[in-house]
Amino acid sequence: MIKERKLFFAWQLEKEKAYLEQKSRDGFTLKKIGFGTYYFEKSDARDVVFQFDFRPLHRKDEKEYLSLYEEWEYVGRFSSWYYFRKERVEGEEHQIFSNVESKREMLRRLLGFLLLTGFPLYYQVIIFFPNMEVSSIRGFYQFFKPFVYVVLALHSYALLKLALLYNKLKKDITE
Amino acid sequence: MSKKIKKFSPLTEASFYVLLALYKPNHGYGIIKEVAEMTKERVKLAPGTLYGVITTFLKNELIELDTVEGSKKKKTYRITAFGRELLQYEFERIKELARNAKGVLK
Repeated sequence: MIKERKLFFAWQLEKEKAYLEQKSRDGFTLKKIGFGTYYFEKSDARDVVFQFDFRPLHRKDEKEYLSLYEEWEYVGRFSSWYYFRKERVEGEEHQIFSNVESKREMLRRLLGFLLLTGFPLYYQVIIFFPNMEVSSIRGFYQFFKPFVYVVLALHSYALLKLALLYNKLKKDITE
Repeated sequence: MSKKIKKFSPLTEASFYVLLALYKPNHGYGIIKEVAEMTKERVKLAPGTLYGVITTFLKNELIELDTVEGSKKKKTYRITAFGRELLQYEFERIKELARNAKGVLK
């Protein structure tokens, strides 16, 4: 297996899709997904379409969920992200969401998840760190602070980008 | 019209067809095939969209799980009485739509 490090953020889905489709055309079949890491296997070049779904599922519901993807190849899961691919055929639809509402629902799930995970982060920066008085962990705090601020900035940026994307979809009137 | 029906009407095309397809008990992927057949391949339900519709409909008791024989089998769904009521309401609404359009468009 060939390991490639590449980091895409939640708002870069189109970029990630383009990257994986190019890899496939170059003859690298995606086998596994990790954090900022992709594992490929050398294979024949394939013109495929990638699709992603963000879906926090209970283990027991996963089988039923995947059974709907009969016409897709399930590549794997990273966290709550599900990766699917399908051979590209001219004139055929290649989306796992066929209306605006379900596209927006995915963004809602993602925003909900980010808000939930963001809560401890904001708590630390706004309440916990500034009010910390125990000096023995001050050093640790100083070391930790820049890291937390970077994560916080990324997190806020992700929320903003996704909210804008969500809003853009709203303007579609076909549903 | 009950309040509950008002909450779901008008249904999206995908949702309408899911309910219609579940007049006969069917499993998830079976719904996709059934709807494609009914519409001569015009409506191809996408799996991500369908999963959302199924979970929403189950939660709101528009459809229910058919008796599952053995846990290894795929889940089978069917429409409920409330689902039929909603579908009937939508049918009347769509008929009105067609009548009015017919009056205007020749």
